[in-house]
Amino acid sequence: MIELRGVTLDRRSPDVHGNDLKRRVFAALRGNLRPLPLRRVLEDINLSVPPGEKLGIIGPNGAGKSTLLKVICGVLQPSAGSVAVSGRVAPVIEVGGGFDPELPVVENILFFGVLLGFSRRDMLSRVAGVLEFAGLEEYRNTPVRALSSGMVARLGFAIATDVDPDILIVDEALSVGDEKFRAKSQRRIDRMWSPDATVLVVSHDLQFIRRSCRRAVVMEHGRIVFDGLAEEAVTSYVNAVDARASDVLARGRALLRSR
Amino acid sequence: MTVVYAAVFGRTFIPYYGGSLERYAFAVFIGLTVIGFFSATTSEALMSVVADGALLNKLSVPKTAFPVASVLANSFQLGVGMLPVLIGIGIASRVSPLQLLWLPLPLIALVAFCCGAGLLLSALYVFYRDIPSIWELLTFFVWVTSAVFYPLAIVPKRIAHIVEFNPLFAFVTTLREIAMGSAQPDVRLLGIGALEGLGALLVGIIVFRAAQPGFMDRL
Repeated sequence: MIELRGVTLDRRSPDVHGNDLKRRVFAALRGNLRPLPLRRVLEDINLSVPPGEKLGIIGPNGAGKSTLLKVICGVLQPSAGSVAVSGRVAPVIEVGGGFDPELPVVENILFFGVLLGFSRRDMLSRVAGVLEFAGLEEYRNTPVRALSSGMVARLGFAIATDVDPDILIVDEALSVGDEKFRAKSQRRIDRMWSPDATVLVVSHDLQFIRRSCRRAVVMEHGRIVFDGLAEEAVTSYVNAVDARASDVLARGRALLRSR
Repeated sequence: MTVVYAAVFGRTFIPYYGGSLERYAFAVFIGLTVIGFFSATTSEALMSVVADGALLNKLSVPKTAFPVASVLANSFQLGVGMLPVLIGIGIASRVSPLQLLWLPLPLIALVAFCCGAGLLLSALYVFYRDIPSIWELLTFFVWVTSAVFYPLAIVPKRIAHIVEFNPLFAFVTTLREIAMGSAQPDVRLLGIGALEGLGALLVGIIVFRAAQPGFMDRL
């Protein structure tokens, strides 16, 4: 169960002084140390996801889709509003997303399992299954840094789905891996799509959203602009994009004519 | 390292150690281990939160675990590596076994002190990325002023209090007193060490807690 009420998030924009004590001290001495402007990245988000719901999140880049997932994961605290999430949340870890590159694959599996709240012993019994699914049995003791990016993505997907979370968070991670793995992960997704698992997917693959999710939200400029059936959400998003494109086209034509 | 110091400075300084090169070497070893532990753990802890920034962006985990874990991982080496050597030094110096029971106190206080410093530094590093170079300078200052390889007696009276003001002074001195039996362990100094450990830990936790809400915008 996920319940977001009036969630607003302001984030600090990158520092003009850099993250540097020396430079900040000099800026303060010269008297031009300005307080940083905040940027609103999520605005008044109201979202209620009942258990078992498969929710797609679509929208242009920078609309706040991944940020919304981070708020739900508890990584980011909202500036205003309330977030209530019950159940075990597991995010799919993608490339560069927190694996320790120096540690062998096995250690990383154990490490993530422990961070997700499993005991080490419990995870030891799951290692074989994860390796088998990711097709990385022979890379068992290879450091993650030596794996290809596709292999890392497979590993992340295999771990997150193996622990049978109540809520699975998927951020653009399904389009990775080779054909063989894609077919395999599709099967596992189908299994994850069991009635009791809640799944949140951010994707630009509109076909996938339409096919696999019952419900979808469209985000734009940090707001939810549409919330409804996936089919309708995709249509609304595509129409909005088309409208903007024809608007640009019309303005271009008008410009040409005025010359 | 101990051998190098003994070879280079040994002859000059042994009069201060009852004419025994061995005792000078023991003193150097204890000093080096303490300062080495301090600089290794704090500089490792310093990086810990930022180094795992990608992970913190994925999962919600208690952030204090990162600096504390890097100090505690090193403490294991302190326990299995240094403690037996200290006991060996105690036996070689014919110290009563009862006195050696004091050994864990300054060691635990040292670990607490490093945890506190690690928490403080790792939080500051999220905000200010030039902390490592400043810290390196400070560690070197602490290193030179902590009477690792020279006897305190050669330090001019006027600046001797700088050495005593050194945060590691209490740990180095009490460990030497206990293991080498050069004096009865100074209870006052043991207390100072324990207070330093507790104080640093407290400050570290408070600063880390206060800084934590600002972490995610900078990782």
